[in-house]
Amino acid sequence: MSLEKRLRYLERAWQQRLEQQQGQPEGRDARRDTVPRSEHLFAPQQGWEQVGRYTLRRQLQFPSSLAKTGISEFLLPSGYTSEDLLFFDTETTGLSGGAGNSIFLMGMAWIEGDGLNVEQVFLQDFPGEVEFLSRLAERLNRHRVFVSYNGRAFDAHVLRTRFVLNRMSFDLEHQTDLLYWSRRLWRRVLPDCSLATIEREILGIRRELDVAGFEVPGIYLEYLRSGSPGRLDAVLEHNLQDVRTLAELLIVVNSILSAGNTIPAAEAGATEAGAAAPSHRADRTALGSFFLSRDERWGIDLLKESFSAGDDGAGRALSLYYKRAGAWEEAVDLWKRMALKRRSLFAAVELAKYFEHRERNAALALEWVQTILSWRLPLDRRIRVELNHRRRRLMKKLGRRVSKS
Amino acid sequence: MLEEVIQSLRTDRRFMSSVAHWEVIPPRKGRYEDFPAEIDGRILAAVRAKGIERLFSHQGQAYAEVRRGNNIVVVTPTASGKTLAYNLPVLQTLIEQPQAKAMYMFPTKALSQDQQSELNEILLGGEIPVRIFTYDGDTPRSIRISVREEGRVVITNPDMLHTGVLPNHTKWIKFFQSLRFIVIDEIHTYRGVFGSHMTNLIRRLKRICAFYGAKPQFICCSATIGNPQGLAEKIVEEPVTLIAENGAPAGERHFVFYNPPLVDAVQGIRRGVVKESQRLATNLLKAKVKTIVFARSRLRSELIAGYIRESLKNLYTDDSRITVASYRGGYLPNERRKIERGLRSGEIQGVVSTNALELGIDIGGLDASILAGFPGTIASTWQQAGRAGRRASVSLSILVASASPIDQYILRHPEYFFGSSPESGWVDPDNIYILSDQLKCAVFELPFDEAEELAQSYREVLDYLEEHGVIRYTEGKWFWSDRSYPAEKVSLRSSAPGNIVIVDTTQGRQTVIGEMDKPSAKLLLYDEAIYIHQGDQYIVKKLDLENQRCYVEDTADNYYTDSIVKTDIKVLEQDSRETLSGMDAVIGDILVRTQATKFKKLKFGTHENIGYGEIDLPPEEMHTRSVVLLFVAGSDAGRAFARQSELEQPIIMQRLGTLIRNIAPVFLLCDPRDLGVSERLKDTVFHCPALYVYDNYPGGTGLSEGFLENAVAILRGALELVTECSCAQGCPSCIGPVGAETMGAAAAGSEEAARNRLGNPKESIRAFLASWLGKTE
Repeated sequence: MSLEKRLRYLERAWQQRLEQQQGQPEGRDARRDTVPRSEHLFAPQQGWEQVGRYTLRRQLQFPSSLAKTGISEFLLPSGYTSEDLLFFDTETTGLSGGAGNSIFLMGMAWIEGDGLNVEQVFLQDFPGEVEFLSRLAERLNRHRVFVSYNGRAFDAHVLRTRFVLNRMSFDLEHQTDLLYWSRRLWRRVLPDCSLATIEREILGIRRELDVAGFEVPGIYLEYLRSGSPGRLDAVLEHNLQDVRTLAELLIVVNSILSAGNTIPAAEAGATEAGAAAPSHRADRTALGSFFLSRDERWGIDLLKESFSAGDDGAGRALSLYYKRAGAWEEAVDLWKRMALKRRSLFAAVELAKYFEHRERNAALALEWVQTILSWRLPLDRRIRVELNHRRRRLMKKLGRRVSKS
Repeated sequence: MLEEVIQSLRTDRRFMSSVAHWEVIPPRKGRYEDFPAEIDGRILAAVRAKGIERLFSHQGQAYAEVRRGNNIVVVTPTASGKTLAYNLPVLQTLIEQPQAKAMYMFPTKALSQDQQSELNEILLGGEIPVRIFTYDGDTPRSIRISVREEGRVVITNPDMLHTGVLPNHTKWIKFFQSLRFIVIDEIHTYRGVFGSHMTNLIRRLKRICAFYGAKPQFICCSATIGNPQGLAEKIVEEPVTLIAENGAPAGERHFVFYNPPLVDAVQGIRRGVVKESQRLATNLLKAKVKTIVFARSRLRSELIAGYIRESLKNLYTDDSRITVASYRGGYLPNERRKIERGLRSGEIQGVVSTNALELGIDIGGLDASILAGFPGTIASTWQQAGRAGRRASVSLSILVASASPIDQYILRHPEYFFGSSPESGWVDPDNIYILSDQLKCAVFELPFDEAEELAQSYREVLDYLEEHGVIRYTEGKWFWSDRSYPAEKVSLRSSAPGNIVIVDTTQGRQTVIGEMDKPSAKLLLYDEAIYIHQGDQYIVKKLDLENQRCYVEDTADNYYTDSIVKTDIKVLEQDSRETLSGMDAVIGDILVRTQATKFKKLKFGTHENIGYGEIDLPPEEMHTRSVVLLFVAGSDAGRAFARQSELEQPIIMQRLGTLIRNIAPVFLLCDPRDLGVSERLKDTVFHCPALYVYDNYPGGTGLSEGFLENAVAILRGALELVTECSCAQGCPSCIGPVGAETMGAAAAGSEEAARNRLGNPKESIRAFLASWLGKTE
């Protein structure tokens, strides 16, 4: 069968599939030859300049307190300065990974003077990718710490793929992904940790003209097809705000991390005017655990405070820290409080283990096992089996000792 | 041991009275070569540790050809050391070139795992610095990076290459840059639609390699098929050197065609395949002969295994220590590995399998194979028979015929089986559905340049895709211009993923015991069905299709269940109707509906029917493309058909279906299983005799369109085939063997009488086609 005839059949099948799916055949204006036109959108008044056949760029300045902020070593490792920071965010033609997903817009921000400089680079059509990437590289090469939101899992991979595909070399030296910090600080406080939620709840930023992330690829691809910009202006705005938000977010995260044990108590926060004062909403238990993991002793204070405020998780984290450190007295004391006042299964089990293996006091250990059973908690099967096993073993130990004596 | 058994069978009058044919295939001496002098001492030591002192000639030849830089395809039977034929040159090169990499591709995950352990054996034995990894859907995320960075040999499957590796090739730079070898094992499985996808997948793979500056060499292996070299060259699209001369020795093989004794001579009813195969296998096992039984369905494999165990259980002798396993798709990987190991080590003496063990999974040497029914193709028959037989000793294969016409034909005409070459495999990489889907994936991976050869060959298709907006053409290049990830939506195989998980809930347990694909589950795991798993019986409590779970409980009932399946076709849409060659042909969309509505309860042992049950499950529906051939009254075809006697008309329709199924794949370059054929003497939609030929893939793959395009050639080919076939009244290669109509249509009178009344079906169909097509010359 000739290729032409095969294509005719395929065409027919395609039309039918489309009709079934959408009720009408797709328009035929999806043709080549349409050079994307959007002069007014990328007008010089908006700051845009043509920097390659298919590449546009603009730089904008914004005031920012970042320049004057001393940045915590957790966010900016020693050996780097705040001039090394580059905030970046990509807009892509697809939302999954893979070699077919291209970047068409990159927003980058850095400290310059006492403000924040933002550069956006826009790719007008695919053949311009090499010059587009060269423009990015010019900026990327001047920085060493790359700050993003979910960039470790997404943007960095896409960037790397684009450079590889165009046989260009590229490396992000050090990455700071603010998604990780947001999750640590606010996961238990906020409904989700999307950048939009963080902006609204923590930073108090309201967006005027915005698009949802999942709409972005469609808007650009439609612009390529039809040549008319559609809602591309909103995408440019969206990307600009994203990088500015990154800088703001870094300031907030930094203030929380730098405050250490001087973070004002939660109760005090409620009296302040802005109820959303970010540091007061941070998950103090998570923060405390983090500090402890870095051997910062003030984590203990944070955990103690959280525990008194009713967070069993904090007690758990703190007791495990004591246990690891061999501070048995503190650990046992905490467990007893948790077990007696709050019927903490975890604490009671830890006590049973402690008395059986460390104190070698089977009777006390057994007492704790019996206590747990007397609570009549709905236990899951694995734990029930373990408990019964422990109980039998302890009884046996006791029985033997009794018979010997 | 086996020699004695064969001797006693020879003199067993009862057994011999059922033997239709006994073929003795003489032993073959091995032809050997010394290891090439250049082979690294460490490889040599590892191979020697496995007891291999010399190479078989085909292994030596493979080594030389590969080292000379040629692509090869090695075609030798099972257990002839194919694996070493490619491992040897690959490992040698990988040791000499510390950067070089190899990719091994197997059609199934089970085979990949098998291969990994085989390779590990060589590598752990010595101290060979080559890291082997399997990369498939089961590979944990945590080790995927090391696979990409450190893997020297990466074992994978086409589906993973298609959806996982190629679309993310930038993560594999290191690997692709220095990819030296691509090993494609079991290349004969890539036929028809699957094979057409495979050719395109290899094109994509080669594009990516070229991008990173690599030009790998292909090493293919195949089971015996009619055109191994042709198929390999079609799939890799490069010249391939054929290595077909088997240097491995083989013991004498006895191939017995066994027709179960008649129970009712008047009606021609014979004892069932299941019971006879079980009886033969039990006798062999009792005589300490390691035996494999191939059953034609999962249910049968469990039944036969169960019966064998049952009959061994009654022995209060050493014989009762014989262990018999069943093996089929749907077992969990661990369970499968355990059986494979048991067979290799000798802990398991007997196994009853579906065709799942037909491919090269290493199960060591068995002495006898019993084929419970003709497997359907000559190639499969040899492959299954070949599972028995070690290099030095005698082996026995018994084909137990069922009552089906094909089985009976083969038994009556052993010369047909021993004289025909195995079936050929065809692929059609230019199938437009497959091609356009695959080109999308290719553009996604790398933009197409006008200068590229593929782009030049398929410019029209690229233009077409561009018109539909998924790719964009600018400045001489096509770019992917859609938000989707195309490989995700393109399946290389017909069966959709998503298995039903079978959960044992007896006494509050929640143990996963197996899995099954959804279409099969609807036919086997309906509520109240008996599910047999490795001899244990379960009753289905609830099949939850939505959540892909099937809950079962232990049971000790004395019956098993079998569903009654109905298939019907509904015409959804007629796209066009044209008159060609004296008939009308309609092309359009149809719905093929397969549904189990009832099930029978059958008593173990006697298979007597002890009850029915209702099945309340939605039908399995396939929306696909079909071409319908219509013999409208007054047309040439219609008149030619009307000229045949009314008694013969139904037979002609039915036989024409078989004939078309046999001849069309040759013109469409597909596998017979890719096509569905259904005949209607009086079609309710078109009101005339109608023959439906449809794509056996959801959505269609262009085979129906291809059929219409080639209809005249196919019909003429059919006439030619039926005229020239050397059989007397019909055989499996043309219109199907005699007996088909007496089974279905007329139970009145004996087979012989019915045949006399009806005349020679081959002659009738030839007359019909000649009178029709003769007119349109």
